[in-house]
Amino acid sequence: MDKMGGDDVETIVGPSVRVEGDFVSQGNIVIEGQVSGSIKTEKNLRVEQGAKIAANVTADSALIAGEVKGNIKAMNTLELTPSARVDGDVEVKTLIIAAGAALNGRCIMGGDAGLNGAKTRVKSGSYEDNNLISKES
Amino acid sequence: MKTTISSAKNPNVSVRTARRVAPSAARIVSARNEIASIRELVRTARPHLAEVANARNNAYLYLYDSFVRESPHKDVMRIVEKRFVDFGLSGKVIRITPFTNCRSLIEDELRYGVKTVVVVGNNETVAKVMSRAADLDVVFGLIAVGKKDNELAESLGIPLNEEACNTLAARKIELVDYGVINNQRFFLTSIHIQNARLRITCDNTFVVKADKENVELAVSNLLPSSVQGMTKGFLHPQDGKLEVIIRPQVSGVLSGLFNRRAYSKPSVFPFRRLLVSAARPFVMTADGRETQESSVEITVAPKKLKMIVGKERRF
Repeated sequence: MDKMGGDDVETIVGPSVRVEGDFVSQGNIVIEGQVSGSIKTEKNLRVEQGAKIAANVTADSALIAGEVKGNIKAMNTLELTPSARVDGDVEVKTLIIAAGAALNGRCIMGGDAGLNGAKTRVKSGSYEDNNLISKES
Repeated sequence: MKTTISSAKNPNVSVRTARRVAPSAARIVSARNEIASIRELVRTARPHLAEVANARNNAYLYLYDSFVRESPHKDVMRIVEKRFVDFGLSGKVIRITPFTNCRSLIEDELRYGVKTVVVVGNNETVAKVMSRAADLDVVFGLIAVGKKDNELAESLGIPLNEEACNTLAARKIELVDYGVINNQRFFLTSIHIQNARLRITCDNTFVVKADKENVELAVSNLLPSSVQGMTKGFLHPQDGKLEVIIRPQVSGVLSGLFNRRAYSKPSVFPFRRLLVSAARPFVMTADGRETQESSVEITVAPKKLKMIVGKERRF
């Protein structure tokens, strides 16, 4: 996710913009505004602090610093920063939750993004599975 | 006479002579036949040779903007034309005016074997030609004359003035995207709409709305958008998509006081089809040409334009 920036970024939803509908991209996405509907990308997604998403999200990797109301499916890594709030189920290979992040929903993890992974009920940053990585910010 | 007498006296002598002369005569006859057949071959090939020479000369069509013949550029054009001859790039030259129908002109020349159309001028000349002719099956080249309004040449990696002849001779062809406006005209570089209340739909799948009513919209392809802060990067003319940059206007006390427009951070969306509509007509600038529109459909023709480019191109 750190590599995402500069020319790698293909789609940017600015802070005073709202997007409604099915948002599909083949490149990286940065969201600073509001999105409702669905988000799908083959690459990385970054949801900035202050951004509001009411949509189901599918991405290769995702970094969440804003609010997401909907299910998140990440093929690789899902990282929640201290300002992140996720209300929905997550299905990931690797989950990184910083102290202060809120995750209200079912969590499915494993090698194939939950297909063979353990199922964990996570609430407000607590975790019960070895696959979860605690990150002190 | 001696021979005749001797042959008359001795028939063996004439036979011997005939035997000695016969091979030479046969050789002469066969040589004559050969010459005749070569003459026939040349006679039949001559029109074809002329055709080939004609086609070779007409392989390039040069569309000159009227300004290139004027005083500051005269010397440059003299060198450019000398290089055309030196590099074997000679072709027909047509001077275009604001009233020239470039499409029908190029279509006519295509019938006479034109393979490459070289625009000689600046950004405006390219826009003039491409707005109607970008979809024609021909290779386009550019000789950028002068130092102003030649950002497109820079983007394509084509040096200015006479140095462009080297790029033209190298003939490196890349397939690039171009935009189509309302299925009628084409654009290569960018589109700009300044401050309008717009309804924007991308790829028929999502709608983009701004919190503030007025937005500035730019679409970029071969040139970066004119939107401040977005002049670098986002130049992907071979990805089969165009990029739309949307910047909502921010109303503030300071902007009102100093009569300056303030904008929030821009948004960028790649698209294949963009619908822009508004309740009131708005001014749209496409490749530097202004038109009044109320609804615009912008689509992309992916990798359809054959363009001669240089090594230093920005994509």
